[in-house]
Amino acid sequence: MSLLLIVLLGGLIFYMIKAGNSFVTIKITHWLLVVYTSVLVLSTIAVAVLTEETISQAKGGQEVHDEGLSSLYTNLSKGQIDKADEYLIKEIKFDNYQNQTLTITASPDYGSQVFVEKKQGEDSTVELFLYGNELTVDGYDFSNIIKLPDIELAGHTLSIVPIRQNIDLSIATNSYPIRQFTGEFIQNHYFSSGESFIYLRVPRDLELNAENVYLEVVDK
Amino acid sequence: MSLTTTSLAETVKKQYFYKLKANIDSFSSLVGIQILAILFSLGGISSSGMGGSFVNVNVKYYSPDLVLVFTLIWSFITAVTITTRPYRNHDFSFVTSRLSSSLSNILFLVTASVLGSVTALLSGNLLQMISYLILNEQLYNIGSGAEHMVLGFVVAFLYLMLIGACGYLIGSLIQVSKLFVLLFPILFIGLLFLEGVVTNGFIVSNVYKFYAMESVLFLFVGKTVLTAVALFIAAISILNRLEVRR
Amino acid sequence: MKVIESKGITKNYFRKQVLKELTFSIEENKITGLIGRNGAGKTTLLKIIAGFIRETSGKMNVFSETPFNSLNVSVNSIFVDDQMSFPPALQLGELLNEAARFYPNWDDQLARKLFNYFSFDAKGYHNRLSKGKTSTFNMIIGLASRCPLTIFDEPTTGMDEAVRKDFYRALLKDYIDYPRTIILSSHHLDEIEDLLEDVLLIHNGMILLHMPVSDLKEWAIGVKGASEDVLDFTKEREVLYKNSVGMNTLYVVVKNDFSEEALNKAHQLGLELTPVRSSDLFVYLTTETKGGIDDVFNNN
Repeated sequence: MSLLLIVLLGGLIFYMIKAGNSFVTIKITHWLLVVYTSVLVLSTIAVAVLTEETISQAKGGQEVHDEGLSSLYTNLSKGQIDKADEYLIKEIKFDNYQNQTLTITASPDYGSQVFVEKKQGEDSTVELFLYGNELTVDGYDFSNIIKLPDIELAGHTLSIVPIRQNIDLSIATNSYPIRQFTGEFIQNHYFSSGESFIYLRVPRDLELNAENVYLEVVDK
Repeated sequence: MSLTTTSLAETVKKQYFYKLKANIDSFSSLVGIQILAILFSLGGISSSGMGGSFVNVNVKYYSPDLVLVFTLIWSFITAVTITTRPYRNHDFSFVTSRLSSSLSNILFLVTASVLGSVTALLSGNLLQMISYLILNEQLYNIGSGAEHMVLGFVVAFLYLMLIGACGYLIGSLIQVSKLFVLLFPILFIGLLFLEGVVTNGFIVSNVYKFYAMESVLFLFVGKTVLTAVALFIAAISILNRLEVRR
Repeated sequence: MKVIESKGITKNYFRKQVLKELTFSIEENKITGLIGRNGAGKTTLLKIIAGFIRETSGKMNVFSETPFNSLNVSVNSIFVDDQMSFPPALQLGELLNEAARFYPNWDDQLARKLFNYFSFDAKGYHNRLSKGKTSTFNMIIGLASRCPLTIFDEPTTGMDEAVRKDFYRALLKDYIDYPRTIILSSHHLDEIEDLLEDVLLIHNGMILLHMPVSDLKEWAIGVKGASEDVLDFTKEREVLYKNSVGMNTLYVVVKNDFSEEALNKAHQLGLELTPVRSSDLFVYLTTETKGGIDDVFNNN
């Protein structure tokens, strides 16, 4: 499809030059112009073809985002995880956990909070929910490029290992003549990233230890 | 030889095509200046970052804004250039009146602005391709689709015409008296200086607000078109009195 | 029909008066020579006619219109001089194409033939031509445009002898085939004399003479003979030129309005009466000091 377009375009340019030569003497400037505009047109086509990765627009602006985050916190602290579905990133189940104790450990500077809910019924499953909104820039969701923390259960220990990342994003934005009427800004950026919460549902009798993690037991 | 007749429209049309060929070099300078602007833009025209304990985010923003600014300057210079004596003399080697000369100049500026606006905005894509192919950056496009592209062309075109009209008027004033060559920079720098002193913003910022902060398209089109027309009319009436080849 | 009508045309540049109340008219399809010394105001007058500049006062009509800002005058007239400028981006061949688009009467065949005859390169550029070549190219444009009013201002600047002769011949031939009003300005009257029908002689921004060339040839008379007789014969007349030719022999030029009787008397006195060449007359008329350059070196 795009190849066809390029061939068509090339043909058109060739025809234009041929037709043009009869009434205008073709000079270097003409070539320069033709080459430059074809490069521009080609890269326009190429960009359209290559950036298939459409970025979904997150809902609302900074305020909406902050509000969502604080309500997420409230919901989780009350154990109302059914209200937090939209922030659910990952769900892991560790079936048939037989140990009496569970140590939850994270890297020393991992600041996120871990909510713990003790299950009412007889159930030996440890369920882990990862909540958060991972990365949005100017309201666009870039979460798919963030690497989730490694979460492993080995023996008595549930380890949460966040992965350090440097993310370089290159974003092509509208030019000023468009921004003037769409109200976008190029200076006022807002980010949100790394706000993640872990919510655990553990068997009733399990004894919990925390290392480098602040555990908040949910009262239901 | 019997007398022949011609009409204003016919003469303007002939002069317009004559000027497209005669002023072809202004288009190569357009390409040159845009390529320069693209090179300057490769570092991103704006960047911002955020650091967390585990995630560092650095965002580079690409947009053809700088290219557009350079193109605006080009438009101004082109407009001033075509008012200068050699260019007016070129017209007077063939059939012309001062009015037809100006009208064909304006048509030329319209063409130049169309070309300038389209290339400036499309250069954003070239910018993306370069950063993708050469700088190996994964690029995300939050620019919006085709209908905004058209909006961009129109608005950029109007800006170019506005600046072109300013250049045409200033150029024609300079043709009346070379004193204006001195006067305009003094006036401009003086205004900028006053701008810094007066708290509420003086002329420059108000002018900027008047056009660049207008977010209603319809009003923006009205403002720019009317201003450009007024500037052109002023320039035409000045150039209409000028003697040539003296 | 009068192609050009000038009524009291005055032109000032700053405080200097370049043209002083010129009133004249030029008939259709005549070749008029505009003759004057350097700085006499020839070019200024021609530029007013072409509509390039505006008169300070007076009324200029070309094809019954004010030429300044008139499209009709512009399409029906062309002003050719060595200052004619063309866009540097266009090649000579393209310039001919452009001229063809602008001038309705353009004769492309003539233009191309002349172009080749003077061996121009269609891919050459106007600003790279030598002085003489520039004049030749401009002349081609001037001829081929076949404008009802064709103005050549010092068209032969820089041309060599052969090209000058070719040009005058081409001008004459084309004029005979396609009669039109032509004004030819020059300070070499003798060169163009044979071409002209009328002569408009201006000096210091004023018109000295405007008459057919044939009349100009008889306008003055040279009287040569014994000094006493010559002085007696020409007394109370304005002496245009006076020169001592050897001992006691004088040559004097005066206006030729003698009666038949007077001329016969001159013959009897043994005075030699000769016609005055127009180019000499032009020099006599426009010399500020009687006697000419020799006086500068005459210490006595």
